[in-house]
Amino acid sequence: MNKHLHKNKYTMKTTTDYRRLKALIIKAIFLVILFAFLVMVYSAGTAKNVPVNKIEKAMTSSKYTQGMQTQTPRELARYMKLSSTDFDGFYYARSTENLAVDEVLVIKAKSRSQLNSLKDAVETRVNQQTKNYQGYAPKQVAKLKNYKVLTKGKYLFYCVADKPDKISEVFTDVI
Amino acid sequence: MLFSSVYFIYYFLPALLICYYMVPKPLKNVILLIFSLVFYSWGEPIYVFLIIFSGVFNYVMAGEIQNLQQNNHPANMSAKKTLIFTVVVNLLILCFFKYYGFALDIFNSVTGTHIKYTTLPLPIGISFYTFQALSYVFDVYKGKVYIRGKLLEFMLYLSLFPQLIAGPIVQYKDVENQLYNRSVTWDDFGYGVERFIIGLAKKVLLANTLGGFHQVVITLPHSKESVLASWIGILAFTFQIYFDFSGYSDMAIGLGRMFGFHFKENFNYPYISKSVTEFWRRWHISLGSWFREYLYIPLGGNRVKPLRHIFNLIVVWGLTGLWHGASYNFVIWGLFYCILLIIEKYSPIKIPSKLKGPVTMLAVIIGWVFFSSDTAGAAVDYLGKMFFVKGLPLGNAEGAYLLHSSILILLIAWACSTEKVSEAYKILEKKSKIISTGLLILLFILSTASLIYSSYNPFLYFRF
Repeated sequence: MNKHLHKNKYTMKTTTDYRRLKALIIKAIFLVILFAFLVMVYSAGTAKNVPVNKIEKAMTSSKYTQGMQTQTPRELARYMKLSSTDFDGFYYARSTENLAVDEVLVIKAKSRSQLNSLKDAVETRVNQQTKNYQGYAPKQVAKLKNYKVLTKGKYLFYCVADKPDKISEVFTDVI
Repeated sequence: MLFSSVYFIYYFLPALLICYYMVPKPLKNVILLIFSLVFYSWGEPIYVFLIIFSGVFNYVMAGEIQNLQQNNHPANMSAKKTLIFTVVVNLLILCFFKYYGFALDIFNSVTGTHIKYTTLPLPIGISFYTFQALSYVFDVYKGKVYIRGKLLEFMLYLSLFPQLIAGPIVQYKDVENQLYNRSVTWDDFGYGVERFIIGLAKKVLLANTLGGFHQVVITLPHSKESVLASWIGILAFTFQIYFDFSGYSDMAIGLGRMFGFHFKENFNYPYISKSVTEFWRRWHISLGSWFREYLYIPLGGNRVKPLRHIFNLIVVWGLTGLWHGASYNFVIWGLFYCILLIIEKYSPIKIPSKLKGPVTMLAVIIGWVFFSSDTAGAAVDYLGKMFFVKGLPLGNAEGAYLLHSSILILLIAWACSTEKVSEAYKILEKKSKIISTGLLILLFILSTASLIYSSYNPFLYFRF
């Protein structure tokens, strides 16, 4: 009798242990999948394939880019030292007021390998502008220090503005 | 994909309706789920994985909770532990996408560090579907919901496209039967189409137009600002956000009805409220219900000592503000309502009944200043402009021009935000079906025409 009871207890304990282990494994699998996904999303920064004119439409209708004027490939070459034919598309707008440093650039690269050189071009532009205004225009220099650059998929976004985060939100919303 | 887009109205919806009504009953949920996931993936394909993960994870965890409760397992495998684990994982996902940047900003400003982070786009509707999933898990734990179906029905509940990206926050127990067995009558379908068109018109004709005036005001150069212009701007935003969000809810309810789902109302003319308490019973009802049922009441609600009640209100309204966005101004907006509710509950001063409506409306308008501003500082600055603190003139040529050009749309918006226009439409509908149908067709044509010529105008609540 005692032996039978002991056996039953043992079976129950084994079943409970097995269920506990199974539940733990399931939870661990979920956590691993989630962690892997979050790491991938964070490191990759994916993006949809959106035509640049759609981005331009969203940018120009944003209140944060009011006062900036859309620029042509010529100005892109002049100010950013970039040739528009090297990319699938671009949107470049800048304030044309005296002493203004506000500008927004979105480039749709032909491949992701172009992004690093684009980042270099942005950095060169910011450094050059900072040099231009250093010493006599502290507000502009502060704005330039607060510049924002981000890449997502095949896109590069760069902006110098009062609220660069807000403009980048417009960009990320579209793509 | 936006409801208020030509692509949705003229391609996606007709294709779905044809497929849905052609397939036999057992396949209808499959069709709806596939189209819902396509609808969602239009915005950000990669985040479809997230919603599928959320669906599978919450379904499996809810199953385990139910299993543990039924089999009365030992305490170390208690259902409560699994519930806590599930809630923590759901909140971690939400925080990762929505709040970690905000948290790092706070950390950087407190410690003086400059930790950089990548800004990730917020998965559309994450706040809505996370709350839906949590309500399901809580209800299973409480025994209010019994898992009877397959994963397919739960996935459909979570991802059903009409309410997926901007609510209303549907609770599983409210649609459980409809997920398994529903039918659509011609009356249902007609009502769905009517609600959809009304919602579309609210968004496209009213909200977008009003939004234009708000935008004009906030981008005015300092030399052209005035007290009058500031009031016009915030009034335009006050009506814009109402027609934007209630328009979306109308479209969601209408679309749901076309497929046999009866969602609860999310708005009930909030701007006719005579107290802040009443306002929150009429505004975003599904969010208020969620917080009341799953946070406020478990904390003790109002059946506790005053100090504890005030604490409960602070927690609930702080989190309500934070739910709307990872920014100080949303938290302040939530706590602003918390203070108003505490005053309403505990202040001995009573407002004369004739003034209750205007005073409530004034409080709501002030609240929208925080909601519409980018930062708390910008909100305070805007309030200063409205209340003569900034030394602006009462009016100027720009203000007069704005008043002249916005007065008609503001009056229409005010009339449409009361039940009068809706009642008049119902009377018209009873008297002449032809005229009311003609009116709907006219609204639809005007809305479509406006959509074709307008720029990108996402719903305000998409960002939440």
